[in-house]
Amino acid sequence: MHDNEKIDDMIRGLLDKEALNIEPKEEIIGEIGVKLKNIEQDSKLKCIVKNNIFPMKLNIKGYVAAALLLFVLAPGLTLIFSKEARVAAAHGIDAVKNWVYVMIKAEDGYKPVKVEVNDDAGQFDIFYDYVGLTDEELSRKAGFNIHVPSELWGGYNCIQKIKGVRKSDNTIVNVIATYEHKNNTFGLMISMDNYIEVLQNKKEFDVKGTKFYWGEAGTDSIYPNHDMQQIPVGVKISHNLLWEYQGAFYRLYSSYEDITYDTAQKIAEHFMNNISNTYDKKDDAGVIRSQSILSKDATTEEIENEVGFKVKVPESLPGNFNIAYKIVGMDPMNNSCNMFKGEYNNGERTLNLIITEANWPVMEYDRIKDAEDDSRIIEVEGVECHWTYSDGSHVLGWMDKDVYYLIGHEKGDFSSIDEAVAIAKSIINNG
Amino acid sequence: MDENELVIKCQQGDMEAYEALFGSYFSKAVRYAFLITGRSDLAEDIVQEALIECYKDIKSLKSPEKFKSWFYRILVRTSWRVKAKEKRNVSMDELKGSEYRGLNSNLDNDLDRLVETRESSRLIKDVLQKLSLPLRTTVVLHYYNDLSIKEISQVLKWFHGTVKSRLYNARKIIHKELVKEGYVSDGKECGTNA
Repeated sequence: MHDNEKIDDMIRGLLDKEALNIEPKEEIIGEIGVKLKNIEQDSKLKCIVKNNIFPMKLNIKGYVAAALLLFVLAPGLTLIFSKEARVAAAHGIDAVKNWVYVMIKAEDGYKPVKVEVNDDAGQFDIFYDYVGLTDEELSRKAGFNIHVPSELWGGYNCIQKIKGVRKSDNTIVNVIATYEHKNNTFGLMISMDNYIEVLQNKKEFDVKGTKFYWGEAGTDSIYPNHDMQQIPVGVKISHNLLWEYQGAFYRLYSSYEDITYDTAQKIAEHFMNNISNTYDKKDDAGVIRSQSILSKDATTEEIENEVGFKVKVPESLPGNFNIAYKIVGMDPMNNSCNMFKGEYNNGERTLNLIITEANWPVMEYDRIKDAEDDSRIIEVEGVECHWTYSDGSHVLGWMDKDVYYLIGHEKGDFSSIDEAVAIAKSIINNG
Repeated sequence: MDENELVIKCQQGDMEAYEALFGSYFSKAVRYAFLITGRSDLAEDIVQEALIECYKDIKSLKSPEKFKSWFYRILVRTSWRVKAKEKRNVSMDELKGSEYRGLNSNLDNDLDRLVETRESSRLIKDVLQKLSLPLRTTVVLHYYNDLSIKEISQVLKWFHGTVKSRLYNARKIIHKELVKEGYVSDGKECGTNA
């Protein structure tokens, strides 16, 4: 038997055996059935719903992520740090969002192929520029240890540090630092994803006990006038430098000048010689891992001290809604972000106000553009708001001072868009 | 009645169909949650919560044939949410090391087997602890719940490549632990065939 198959069998066997240590009580199914039959009256169920501070409908369908810049990473295509992508991004994400040309290897050489970026590429929602943050602060934001030198060997200076969340993962955080020198750009991506095996024809070397890997990472297309929507005139093989340090994986790209083996070694030595501090793993740092219900009298300042960002939380809202619960916790779909939830009640209905530092609006914006329902963008008090139909009801969301606000009824829908607008207006004008 | 018919009946509010449909997934779901959390009390809570969510949301499931991945998606998200909430609460089960109340009674009289079971239990617990939540979820879904790479990518909304990469990394970590514990020899690097 092949080694890998043996390991597979062992894992299966161990899991099967361990799983027998719990005997599922089949009667639970029936018990749940009884609960569901009396769903409106069942106080225990209401308690479960009450404790579920972030409604599932918002988690799944309402979850959106803002892309202040959108970059793409597709097979055979390394655009994330390319000048083309950055220029396109600066002129509006539509330019890179729909399609680009890439060169795909065929039997008789490379052929240009039009790629639908949305469907085919690994998209990153990139948000927040953290260039002013230290490694320790970045580690808090990312949830894993990060070392981003202010400069790399060869005179490259760090001009940008951004945190991104891959759409397909949602919870997977990438920190990307951009370095510039003359006409070339390096990108350093740090995440918990290991791409070392992706490298072809790799060479391995050691610096101060850390293994570095240099190898072919794919081909870059050469575009006329750096325009990704023109047929490429050629390809060039690009090399990456990869390493693992303190549990995180580092991947270094170059935009124009390829990374030679000699350069890779010098960059690696420089990196290892310029780590000034190490930090304790900060899984919990900066992020509220356990939700807590604050006192009803908690002030805005106290809420802000908990979540770490500015919030507007009125005590009452149009429609005779009064605050019933103030809850803080981790954004369940983005483990690196905090979230506030206010529950308002008017004696008949419950209205939720979600405030999160995770970015939700742009994915919503994308959806709105394609939606066949009445979802649309509206302006409230000069703020762009997204009126979205989702899961049988509407929600209204907007961005205010870098945090995202979203309102929606716990059950049922707004009576009309006017009701939502009045509530939004009240929140936007609060404080 | 096949699964698709049960889903449709369930969407129409048929409680018998609900019990039949979720009954067929129940044991595997509880055991999945147990493997993810290591706690039987949490496992039951997770499955209860997930089943209630399923009931509330099943009308939104447009394609009955996608029930399996839809169900596991809710289960995974619920388990992650509960796990995050309970991260700092150490249960009595954990303080005791591991729990055996569900063990078949015939094992109780068989000391050797009990010792062996305890040893394997400790081993798999240690191994699972070494894996991050996404890796652990991938491993349990693949090796215990028998979900294919394609199914896991549908459940977790990851690309195939991401699932493969997660499985590869998880197996590497598990392999290292098994070598450390002397269960396998330190052969060549452990990759994925999946």
